[in-house]
Amino acid sequence: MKTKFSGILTLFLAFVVQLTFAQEKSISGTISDENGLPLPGVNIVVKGTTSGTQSDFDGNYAISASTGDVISYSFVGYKAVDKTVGASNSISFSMEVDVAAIDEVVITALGIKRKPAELAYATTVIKQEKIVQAAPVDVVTALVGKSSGLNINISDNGVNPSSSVVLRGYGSISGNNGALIVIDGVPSAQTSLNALNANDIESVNILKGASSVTLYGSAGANGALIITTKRGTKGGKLSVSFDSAISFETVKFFPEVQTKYGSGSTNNFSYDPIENESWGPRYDGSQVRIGPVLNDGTFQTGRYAAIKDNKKDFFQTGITTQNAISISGGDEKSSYFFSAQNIDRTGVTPNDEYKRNNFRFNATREAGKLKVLTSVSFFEDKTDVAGETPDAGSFYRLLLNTPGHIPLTQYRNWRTDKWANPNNYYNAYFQNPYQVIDLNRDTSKSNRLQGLVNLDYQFNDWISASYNLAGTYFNDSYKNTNEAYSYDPAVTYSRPSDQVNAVRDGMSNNFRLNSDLFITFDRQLSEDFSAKLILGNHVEQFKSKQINIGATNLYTNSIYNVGTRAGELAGNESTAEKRLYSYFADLTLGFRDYLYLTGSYRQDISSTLPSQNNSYGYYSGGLSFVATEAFPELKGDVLNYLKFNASYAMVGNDAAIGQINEAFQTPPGFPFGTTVGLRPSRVAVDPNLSPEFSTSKEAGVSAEFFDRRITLGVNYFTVETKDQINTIGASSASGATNYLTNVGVIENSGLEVDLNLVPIKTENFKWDLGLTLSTLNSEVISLNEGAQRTGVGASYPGTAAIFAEVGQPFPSIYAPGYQRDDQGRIIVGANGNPLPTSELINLGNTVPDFIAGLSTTFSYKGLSLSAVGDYKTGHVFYNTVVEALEFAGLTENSVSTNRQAFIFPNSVYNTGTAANPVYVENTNRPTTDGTRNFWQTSYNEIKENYVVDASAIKIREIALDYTLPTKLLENTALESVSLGLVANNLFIFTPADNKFTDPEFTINSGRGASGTQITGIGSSGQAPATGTYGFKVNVKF
Amino acid sequence: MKNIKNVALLLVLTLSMSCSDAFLDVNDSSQNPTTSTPQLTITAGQQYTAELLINNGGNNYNLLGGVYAGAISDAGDRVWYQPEQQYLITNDTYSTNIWDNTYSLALSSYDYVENFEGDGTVDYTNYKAIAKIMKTFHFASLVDIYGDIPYTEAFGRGENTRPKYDDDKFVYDAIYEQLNVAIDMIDNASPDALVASEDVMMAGNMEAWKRFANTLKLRMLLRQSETSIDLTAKYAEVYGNGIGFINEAVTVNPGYSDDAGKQSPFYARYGFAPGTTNATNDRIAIRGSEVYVDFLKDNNDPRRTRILDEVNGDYVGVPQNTYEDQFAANLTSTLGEGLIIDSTQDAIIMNVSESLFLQAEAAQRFGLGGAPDALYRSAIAASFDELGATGAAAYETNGITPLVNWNLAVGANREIEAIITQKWIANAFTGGFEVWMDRVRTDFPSFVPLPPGAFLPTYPTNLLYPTSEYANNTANVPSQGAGGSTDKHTFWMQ
Repeated sequence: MKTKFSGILTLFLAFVVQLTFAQEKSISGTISDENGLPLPGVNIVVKGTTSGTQSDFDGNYAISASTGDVISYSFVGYKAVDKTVGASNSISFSMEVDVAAIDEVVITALGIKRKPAELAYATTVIKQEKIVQAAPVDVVTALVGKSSGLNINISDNGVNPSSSVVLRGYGSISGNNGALIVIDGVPSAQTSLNALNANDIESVNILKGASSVTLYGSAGANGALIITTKRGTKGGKLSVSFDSAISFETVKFFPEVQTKYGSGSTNNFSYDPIENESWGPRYDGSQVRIGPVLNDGTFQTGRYAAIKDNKKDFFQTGITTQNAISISGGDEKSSYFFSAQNIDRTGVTPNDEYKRNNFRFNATREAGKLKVLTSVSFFEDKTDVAGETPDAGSFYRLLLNTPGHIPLTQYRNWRTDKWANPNNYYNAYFQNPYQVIDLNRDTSKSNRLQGLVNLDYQFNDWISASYNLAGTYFNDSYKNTNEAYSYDPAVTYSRPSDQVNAVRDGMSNNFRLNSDLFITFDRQLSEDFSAKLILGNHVEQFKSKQINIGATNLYTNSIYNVGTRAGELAGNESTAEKRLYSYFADLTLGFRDYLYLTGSYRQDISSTLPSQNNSYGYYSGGLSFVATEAFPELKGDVLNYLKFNASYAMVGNDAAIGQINEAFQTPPGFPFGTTVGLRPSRVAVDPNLSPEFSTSKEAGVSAEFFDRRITLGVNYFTVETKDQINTIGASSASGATNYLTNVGVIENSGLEVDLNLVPIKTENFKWDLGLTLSTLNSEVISLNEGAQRTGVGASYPGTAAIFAEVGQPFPSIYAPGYQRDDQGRIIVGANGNPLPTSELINLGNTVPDFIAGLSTTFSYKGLSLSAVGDYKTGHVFYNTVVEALEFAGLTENSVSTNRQAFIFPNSVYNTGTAANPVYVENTNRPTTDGTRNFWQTSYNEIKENYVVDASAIKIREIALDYTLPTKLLENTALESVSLGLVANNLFIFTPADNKFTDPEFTINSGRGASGTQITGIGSSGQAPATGTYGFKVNVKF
Repeated sequence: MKNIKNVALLLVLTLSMSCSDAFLDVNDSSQNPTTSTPQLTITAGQQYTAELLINNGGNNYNLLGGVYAGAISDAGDRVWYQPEQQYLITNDTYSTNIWDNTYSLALSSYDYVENFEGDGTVDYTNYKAIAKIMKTFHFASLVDIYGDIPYTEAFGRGENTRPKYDDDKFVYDAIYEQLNVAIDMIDNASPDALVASEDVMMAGNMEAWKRFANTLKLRMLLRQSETSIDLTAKYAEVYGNGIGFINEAVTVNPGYSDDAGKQSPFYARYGFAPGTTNATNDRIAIRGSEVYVDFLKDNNDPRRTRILDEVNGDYVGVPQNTYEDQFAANLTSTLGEGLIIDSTQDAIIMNVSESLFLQAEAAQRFGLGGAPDALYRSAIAASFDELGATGAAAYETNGITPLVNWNLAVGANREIEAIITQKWIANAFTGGFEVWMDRVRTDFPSFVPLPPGAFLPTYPTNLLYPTSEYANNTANVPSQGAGGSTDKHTFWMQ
């Protein structure tokens, strides 16, 4: 040690001496790219000194150097050039594109930058321009289709939609399956990503497997998205950028409904003018009464014929405007970046509104050996959407319950219009949807403040330390209100129940503090060997508190406050806290720039596990081999680059906060006056709960061909999650319905392919094509002994539920199906109607086993056309929309036999006994009828009918961009101007049996909930699927 | 060298900061206590008993029973109790609610009280006796509905998440014996035993608990009336132990009030929203079946004005599973003021009339405890009292059918039919589960039609084991065929 240090000191001295005695002069010049155009931002450093600069926007630079000095010029994607200073004071040249190697560094876990050659696992980087090309409001939507291994589900289409981000399948039965979101080195809630200003993002790096994120510990078990925000350019001039976009949102996928039969609720086709079900007579175009005969004897009339889109037209065109500004710049030693963004959105549902503001300030400063980065960001949003009626649920379900001939859109002015007025409205049983969205509002506000400091200290040329401290404060409040409505007591016909004023009010806040220290030792050990060792410590602390209060009967609607209630106050309060600290080490050994061996180890100590099991370690290892570097003869015009990688990783995971507490619960209703009560918990807890581990193995190859016109990455992975911390189902006879313990093994495996092509490239025209393919093979290997399956997430009892079943893919959907004979024919009962199974049957996997994404860009001079689409298949889903329609007599299948009894296709009946059945083909037992009794009840009980193929092709993004030629702007202050037309989700193609809704809609991944993210069951609480189209402009100064 | 030292110092600093045990001690529950006492948990169990029987989110014992016994239907324009009236019984419908909630809410609370140890300074004998009686009350219903059930290995929680199933007759005998144990505990309780003052059923009146236990014993013995099991000694003990039977209704009332979630369960479900006169959806939907209402009307039963609301000068029922506009909610009778009183009304667990009908049946069958006709008449009188009606004696003596007028019910089976049919009239809405079980046992009342469109060829006799058992207790749960809900598989049905 001692000798080496002296050596360094000597070097340092020599360097000082050299600086002092050399003859300095100013060198200037212009750097251009391969096409002779100016190349800004080239890093220019006098070798062996700290003196450096960058070329400006016109490619010009100036730097002080002495004759004999070597100036190094480098730029990402270009070959570095060294020039020795001679007699001339000018050095100008063109840089060459570096086709042989990917020079980009990849930002991996903990912000550690690695050369791609070092990586032993699969990653995909999505750059800024690919993220903002279609002007997304939510960054998550802009990632779809752009990386293999990534399954993004946009689970509804409100003004502030929820989504889930899952990498490489679902490994955890009752834990979180979502990918870890890391923004500027800070692990964050997924909602932080949803809320991020897309224009702030420099890049998103997708680390698909656990091997890449062992260093994030537990949170990284499901892979991670590493988001890096923009910095100012050091030495760059002041740059100002404006981004604006306006887009229009319309309903793109409305359930298909029958248009042949009108209102009625009997089996004999009688017309009922006050009925919401459509089991009435066939439409004949005659004039009929609609709604009740009012007390004054008047009534509404209308044509008895279906009105085209009478339900779809309830929805309006939503408008979203986005305005953003960013200011950046810097001097030699510092940089800054400031941005602000405002989003204002109205939804397709009338009255729905969303507003969002984002601010960010990032700054860096170099002071000798110390580099400082600070980042402060602030976000706030405000949501105001239609809520549910206490009685009848969502307006959408009521909307779907509207017969085809009802002129629904005429009932918009429900307080003033005679026929829309609740006292006179046609429907005797349910409220006017326009009334529902006016009287029931869910409003919320949230904000997030994040501050981050990063200190980097370079002790010497091989030892450095880095310290990150980040705090995130989040706060959220909501107020959901129901406004009273009392029907005129004088009306003599049926009306729905009166509604009273009610309010549910609450707030929550949380604070998360992260501290990371790591020390890096990076040495070239010999000519052939290099070594990099990182030692680190991580401490995190999370605190949250929430308070919910509510009152179901307020005496006024002038304000909504629990203080104006009649009766008792309902409410609860809870706090949660977690602390975790870790130590880790990561070692990378390199041999001749082509063979890298990496290994890491981490020890976590978590507050959420029983104290005897709260410390746990895990490790990863990987190998990468760049064949084209090892055997240069492989390299040629065809093959430019070839790398093989393999890795193994294990990640431990702790329990959720407070999960191990087996606490008594206060039953509903208590306290009754002074009577108090407590019952035992329904979740029994294993007192010896230990961490769960997932193990992933992957191997892959990446290759580049034809001057990088073709790049290919292929990876195969298997992930096994075992000893899962699971709240598995228990026999209720045990006294508990669930048991929290370590049990269950799930294995996911799959192949991921990323292929990028540049099929055509000429001086002015370029066609880029990116293809991503992911397969997923999932199997539940075991559950607890004696159990065949366990329920997962929310479900509709007796209807459909999600289970993990041994030997089956996870997750799978179960519902009552058809009883079938051994030949698969459907068994009908004595009355000719098919019989439902009494036990739920497995109807398929709810996660796609194949996802393909295609993105393409055509660019011609300043014009570019991009599109992104994806295809998911191999899975099924269930949405209560179809059940609502079947109940209401509006499905197309309910008119498939013209509402007449029919022989159920491919059916048999039993002529034997129950014990010894003999099935004969059914040719003579028609169904009981072909209308209400059959479809609404018999057919509707067999939910297998509604579990349908969830395959879909979606065209997610289309963007047409035009960048004005720089010549036009030469004498203006403008640096660049681009204009674009953008569209999102404009097209969705689904199989014939899905006539209902977007298969991605799901009830289980609520916004902000750290739920299981399990998909497969959707509800009619979710408005129909939409698409947007619009216009964007970007101006830079 | 100094650099290295600095690095080391930094590491040491962060390490020392994070290492204390107190640092990690932040995981305790902030919302719910981790300990309880019998006083706290007995009330929870009793309130769950009321919920299970009467409300339970709409899937309660009495509604299911009332529908399966043919007494309850829904309005022709409300599709509210259709699955019940269609006899749609799958492993996953309301059976999950019945099974799971009975075991994990009510029984689990009583089991906690029964086995409470504490620090041994307080004598909880009275609470434990109550818990034993209530456990038997629920286990008996579970055996009735399902047959074999987990009993000996139940309530192992995490220690045994898949308890084995016990033979239904074995369970019935064991829980019957537990009633005797409870009575003994009460009789032999130390004077220091804590008075069960938190008991929200009988306010700690342990004599009343003994009468309830004895009445339950009679109910359980009569359940087995159609079997060949010799119960002579047990009947003799029930009638000879000097305890007697309940003399007032067994009810739950923890302090119901006119607030959301705190209303009496029957009122909350079939009455009005808290603080308002807004009828609940169930009030708009629930109806007497056509045969039930017609029976009241045909026999000029004064109770009809208390059980039902008048509509257009008449009392109108709805044929089961018949969704036609002529039976719309505003054209048919919903529940009357004898049943819907106010938000604070007691939740009925067992009516005196039921006890008297049980005694009448025992008297008729075995000559025990008095004259069957007198007990029959006092049972009807008790029912009139319970519903706030008058004229019981005239109703009975003026009755023109043997199902009302005892003197016309000539022959043993006719007398049993009269007792069971009258019990059906009296308890259809407040003891629906019992009238269903009576129908399964005796096939009375005999005039209830099969609802049109029913999925089953006959009325249900049992429910199917829930999906949760097939999922979580796969190895132990007995297999059941498609006919499992009509095959009378409980031992006393065979």
